Amino acid sequence: MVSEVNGYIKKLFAGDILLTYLQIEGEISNFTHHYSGHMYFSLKDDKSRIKCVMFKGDNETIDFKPKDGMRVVISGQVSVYEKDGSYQVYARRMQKQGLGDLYRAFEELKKKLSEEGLFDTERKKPLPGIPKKIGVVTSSTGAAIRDITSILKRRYPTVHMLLYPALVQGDGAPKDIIKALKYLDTREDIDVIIVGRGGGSFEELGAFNDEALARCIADMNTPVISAVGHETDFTIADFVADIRAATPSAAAELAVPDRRSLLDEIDSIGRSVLSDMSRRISKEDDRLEGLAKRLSYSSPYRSLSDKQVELDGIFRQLEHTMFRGFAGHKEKLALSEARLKLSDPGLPLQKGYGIITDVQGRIIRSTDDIDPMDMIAVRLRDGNLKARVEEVIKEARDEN
Amino acid sequence: MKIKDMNYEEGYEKIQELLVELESGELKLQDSVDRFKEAMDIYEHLRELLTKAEGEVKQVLERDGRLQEEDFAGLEQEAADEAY
Repeated sequence: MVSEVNGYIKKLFAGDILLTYLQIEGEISNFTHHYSGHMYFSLKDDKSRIKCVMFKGDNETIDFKPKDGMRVVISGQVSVYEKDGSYQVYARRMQKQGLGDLYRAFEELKKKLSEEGLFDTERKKPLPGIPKKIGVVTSSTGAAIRDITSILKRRYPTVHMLLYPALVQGDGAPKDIIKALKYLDTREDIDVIIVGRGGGSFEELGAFNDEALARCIADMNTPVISAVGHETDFTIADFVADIRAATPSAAAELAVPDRRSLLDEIDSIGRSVLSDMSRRISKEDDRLEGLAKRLSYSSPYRSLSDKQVELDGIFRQLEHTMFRGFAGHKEKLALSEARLKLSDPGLPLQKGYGIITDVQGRIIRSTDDIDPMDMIAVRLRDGNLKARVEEVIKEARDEN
Repeated sequence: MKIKDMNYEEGYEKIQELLVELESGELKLQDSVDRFKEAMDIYEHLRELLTKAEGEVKQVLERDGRLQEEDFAGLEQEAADEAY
């Protein structure tokens, strides 16, 4: 199918890191500013041309009026327009040439380091599953550290964080960042490092396009997450880091797991262990009962009461062995779960209990919560009942 | 390996192993009681790893040519600033 071929090609394009962030210099031609607000044009040099589109949301930030013949630098990604089977540049930014020198230097360095293999996937170190301490290199007053700290606190509050404050823009910035990274790399207790800053212009992010910094990141023993600017900003540091986070917040999310889901996971394992043990015990009970019956039939020389005594002894011993460990753990588990308000209603349901809620789904615990003729829902192991209350019968309650 | 020395990944792997054994239903009673106890101890340990005291937030500062660590109060300071 045609659409399958185009879809496949689109995926290939999307998987190529060079195509997902490009800067292209060229001359605008066939420029139209469509009434929808989107811009359509081609970019050409003396040998070839490429189709470009710049959507309304992106082109609103252009501070000049693009027109045919103008030399510009656009940044964006190359992707496939599946409907036509054509590829084009989706431009996110456009600047008049002149800033061209900076971009050229960026592209040249990117090419050089890429050829040296500094961006190779084989070089990338895996992040630790659950870090104990995270190193952060950024400004101590910027938005980045604020975002990182608050995400870490929310997602995984037990993690330690060590900030090494550094300048993140200006001439001294690369040297400062390198010093911080090198120091943190000597620390045995740091499991992963986030380096970055909040958003800024291409020039402001310049420190992260520094060659010495790129080489320093490549040489680090500790895994490094780069977190520079916004989603659309790419820097050399991003290519050379072990993983690029789109923003400082995203870096914090990559660095630590979500504690909530880990807790859910081990609680569910804990419950499985408990229910396996309960099953085992009731199986053992059944077996003993069977044994008792056989004993009473097959041993005519002893009185029934003897056997009863013997059997009770076995039972007691068994219960003793099992419940010595079992009961305590069961209580502890129940406690932790109550702390978490996580108790799984599934287990009682398996045993034949039901959970009664009102029509809003609130659990009904007391006859005070319900009046005759109210609708209620009853949740059972394998489904739900809808019912109407005929009568409310209150019992005298022990108020102690 | 002692349970208290296990990190999260190690404990998680071990408790999974124990669960598989328990689920097999082929253990002797005493063995399953033992594994049950061990699994519950690991469970407690993992929970503790995830919920023990809050992590510290510190920063490295250079004072008189020496690096030292201090509490990083960036967030609190900002909250205080906003209050005024």
